[in-house]
Amino acid sequence: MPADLNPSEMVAARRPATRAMLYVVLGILGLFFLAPLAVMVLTSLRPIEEIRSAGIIGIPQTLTLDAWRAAWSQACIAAVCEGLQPYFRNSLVIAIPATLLSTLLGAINGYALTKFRFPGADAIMVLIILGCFLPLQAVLIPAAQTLSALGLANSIYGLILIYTVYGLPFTTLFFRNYYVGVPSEIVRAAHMDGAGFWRIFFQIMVPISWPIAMVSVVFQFTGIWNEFLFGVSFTTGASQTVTVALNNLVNTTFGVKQYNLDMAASLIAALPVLIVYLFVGRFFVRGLTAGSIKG
Amino acid sequence: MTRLSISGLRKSFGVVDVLKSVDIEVEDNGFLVLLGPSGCGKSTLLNVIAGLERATAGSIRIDDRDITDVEAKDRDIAMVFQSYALYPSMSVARNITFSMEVRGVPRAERRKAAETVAASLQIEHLLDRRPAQLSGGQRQRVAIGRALVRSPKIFLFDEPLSNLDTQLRLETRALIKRLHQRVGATSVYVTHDQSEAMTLATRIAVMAKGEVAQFGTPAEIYARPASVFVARFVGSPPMNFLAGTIVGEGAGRTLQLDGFADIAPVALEATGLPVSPGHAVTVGIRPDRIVIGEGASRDGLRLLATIDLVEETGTDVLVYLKVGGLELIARQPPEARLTPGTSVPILLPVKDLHLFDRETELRIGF
Amino acid sequence: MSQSSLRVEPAPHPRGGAGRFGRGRSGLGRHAPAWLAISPSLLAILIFVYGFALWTAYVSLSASRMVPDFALVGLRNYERMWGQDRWLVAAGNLVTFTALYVVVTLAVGLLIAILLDQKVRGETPLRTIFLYPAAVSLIVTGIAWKWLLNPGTGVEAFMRSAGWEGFAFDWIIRSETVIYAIVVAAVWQQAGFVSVLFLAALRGVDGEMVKAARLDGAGPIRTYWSVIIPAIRPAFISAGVLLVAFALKTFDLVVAMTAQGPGYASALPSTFVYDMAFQRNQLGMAAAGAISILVFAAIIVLPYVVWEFRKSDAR
Ligand SMILES: Nc1ncnc2c1ncn2[C@@H]1O[C@H](COP(=O)(O)OP(=O)(O)OP(=O)(O)O)[C@@H](O)[C@H]1O
Ligand SMILES: [Mg+2]
Repeated sequence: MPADLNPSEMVAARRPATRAMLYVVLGILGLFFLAPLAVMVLTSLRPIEEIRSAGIIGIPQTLTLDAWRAAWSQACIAAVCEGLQPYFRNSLVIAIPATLLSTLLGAINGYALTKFRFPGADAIMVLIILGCFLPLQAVLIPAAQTLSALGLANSIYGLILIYTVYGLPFTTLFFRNYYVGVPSEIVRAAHMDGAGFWRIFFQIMVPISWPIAMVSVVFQFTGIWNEFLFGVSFTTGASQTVTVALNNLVNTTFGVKQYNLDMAASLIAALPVLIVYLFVGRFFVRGLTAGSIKG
Repeated sequence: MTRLSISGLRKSFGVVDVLKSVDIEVEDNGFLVLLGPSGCGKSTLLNVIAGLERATAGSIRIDDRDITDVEAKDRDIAMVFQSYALYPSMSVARNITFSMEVRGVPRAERRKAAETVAASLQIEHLLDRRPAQLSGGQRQRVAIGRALVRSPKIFLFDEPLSNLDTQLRLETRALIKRLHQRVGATSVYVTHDQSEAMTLATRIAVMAKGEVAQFGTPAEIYARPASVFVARFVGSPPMNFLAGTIVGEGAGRTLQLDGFADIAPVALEATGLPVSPGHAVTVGIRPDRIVIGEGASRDGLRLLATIDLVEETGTDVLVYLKVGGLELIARQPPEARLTPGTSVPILLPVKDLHLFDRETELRIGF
Repeated sequence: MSQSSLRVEPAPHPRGGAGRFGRGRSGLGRHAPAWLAISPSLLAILIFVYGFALWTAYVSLSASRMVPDFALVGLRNYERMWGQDRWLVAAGNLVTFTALYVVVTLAVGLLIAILLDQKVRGETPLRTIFLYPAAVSLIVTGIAWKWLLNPGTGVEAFMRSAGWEGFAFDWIIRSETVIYAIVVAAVWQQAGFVSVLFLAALRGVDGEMVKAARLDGAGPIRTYWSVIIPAIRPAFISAGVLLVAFALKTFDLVVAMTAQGPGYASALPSTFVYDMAFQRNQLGMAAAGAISILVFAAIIVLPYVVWEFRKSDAR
């Protein structure tokens, strides 16, 4: 037996029968996870008559992009028949600044609280991080009242504010876990070189932070894009987010159920996060697990 | 001209007193080594000198300027860290000259400075690399370069060699020594490696539990350790200790080893120590001073020992001796032919004995 | 090289230059930039998290209905809430849902992680397949599973049309089972994420310990059960706490999948709060429901946070 086996090799099933079983079980699990996506894609490409006669599970006989087109720009949400397109834009306009802002603030907090351990820094850290576990229902009513008092009810700015603030506990936690692994001596050395708080942050910490910034950006973007409770509580009509609009579209019923339209709309609403996930998901997972293992 | 004086320095973290009244003076061009066991406050003292931690009480002066409350960046002090603490995202050249960048020195000038310093450290070919692309020894040179470029009044080193392997450690130690001889800046150097301390220092401060146990030249500290602690800490293998008692009075005073009533006591008359009869002492002797064999006609304690174990280190031989219930270590030249299990007479020459008060553990006399 | 050529820079001589914040020995001065930097975030968190939670607690004790009313009515809102069948169903559902969701997700996540840890071919695409649901919103998840589990359109219809006439899979339309249908969708969404956490933990297990177990004669299953799984217990606790927090927040999944139906058989405290606040103008009772969720969350989460911080202090 070679001397440097890793644990997985040590216990890895090696008999052919066992390995066959392994792949069968993985295959079944894989099907369970893939099936909903496959059904959505296929259904979105079929004409409604065909679905109604054969059920939503099945191989399309005719392929059509009608449902996609309708979901993007024609479907009615309440009385407005412009598809998801305007709300898609809302979500982008909300998610991008809120993501960037909360990531930047989280980085500053993580830096200030781990590298300048002033009295009370630990307590402040706990105070902020506890916010990760806040059930949002517990702040729903005051948040609604505050937004309307500020004149931000039913506005994109209101949601940017809300998503930035409630993202802070997570982004702060990410950067804290990352920065505790950065030797404080680097900061001390920079201090002795004459650099101040902000110069150390921007010239020394920021350039080495991209792995965790990636985690923070992906987490915040998908979280904000997918968020529903605040979206549905604080926006209506033209300022809805795409997730809220999707829910309304599906629940706007005129006569028969448009399965293909629902599925196409769902896919459109999920597309940005799926793309983000496909392209940078690897870095996300790596950064996240590195942090959670260490921290 | 840079003199560093520290007086009455205290540092506490909350209720923990990490430094209790430290007084140290380093002369111009001096090389002070802080030596002491882990956790005794060496790094803390260095950080206070650097201005990275605030002193709780006491003062630090450079020449005649009190810098106790001056910001780290304004003290004109550079520091080399144990973990190198290079800026990971910057090239070697930028690492070295970051302090100049902060001060707004033009780029061309910075590049020239980086090249000059790099040449003196033989790292010119590495200037455009990132720290991650360097070996440990190269990183340490960059860290030294970063301090050198500032031509500070004082250099601080916090265990700069402890992450290097033996070979590199010797090389870098020599490099630091050469640089110090050439640049001649006052330096404070932390280590718990006594051979580093002995070779580099002009002064050593042995620290114990937040206090300076002894402050002196390497030779003084080796020859006249001020306490059992220092004696045990400096020298390898460490000094041997035995219990003894003073017998008799005036010119007839002798030292009697406890538990060895049959061994002839040794006369202390010549040494003129301020000890009184019945005084309990700890007797110390360095391993290389134990004489195996008859030892001619010298004065001293003569004992019969059994050779327990013989270790060849290459340059010399360590002999583990059993004397009654005691174990002594002796260092002998490599040509000594000794067989484990045999009995040999040994001599502890009186002029090589160190006496400490058994109660206070402080050196007696001198 | 001469000594002077090293002196590339005239050393700065700040006369008594104590820096902007440098004078005091103990004062806040030295930490002023750090304080300044975190103060906007700290202020926001104090107001939006702690202030708002207290505000909600106050509302839950007040007579507020459609508009805020500051008259305190003691625990009347809580009493009324616990007297409502809707709340009792929601609270019962939450217990069932949380227990099943956490246990099943941990089990499936661990299974996937262990299987993927056997040096399988195609680990990367498989991981992608298991993980993508976590990126998708719960609204989308709900829409997909609503039709998949609907007996008229989904799996049941498919099996029957394939020739299995007696096949029945109608959890989603029956009051007693609808919550299980929601668990299925929720597990699908999170299991991959949990498996990633477990896989990272498995790969961090000390190889020598596993070797020692093998030399002690333990087979693969024994080794997993007695050595490896205990070694990744911290990952279990972290994942478990995360899942409980998710479970308590679950709202969108129910809205999209069942709209709390049939009737209010799949209501959760979160949907109850939303209904009371925005549909029925019962702010006081909505707040009471919200505070109940918060208390539940605190009971689970606080010990965990204390444990985590103890652990990182101990290091
Ligand atoms: N920020 C701090 N808060 C509380 N105690 C501290 C702090 N920094 C250091 N200490 C304590 O002060 C003592 C001295 O620490 P210091 O780092 O100076 O030791 P050292 O002599 O450098 O040890 P080593 O040789 O291991 O580096 C230790 O007991 C340490 O626990
Ligand atoms: Mg130290």
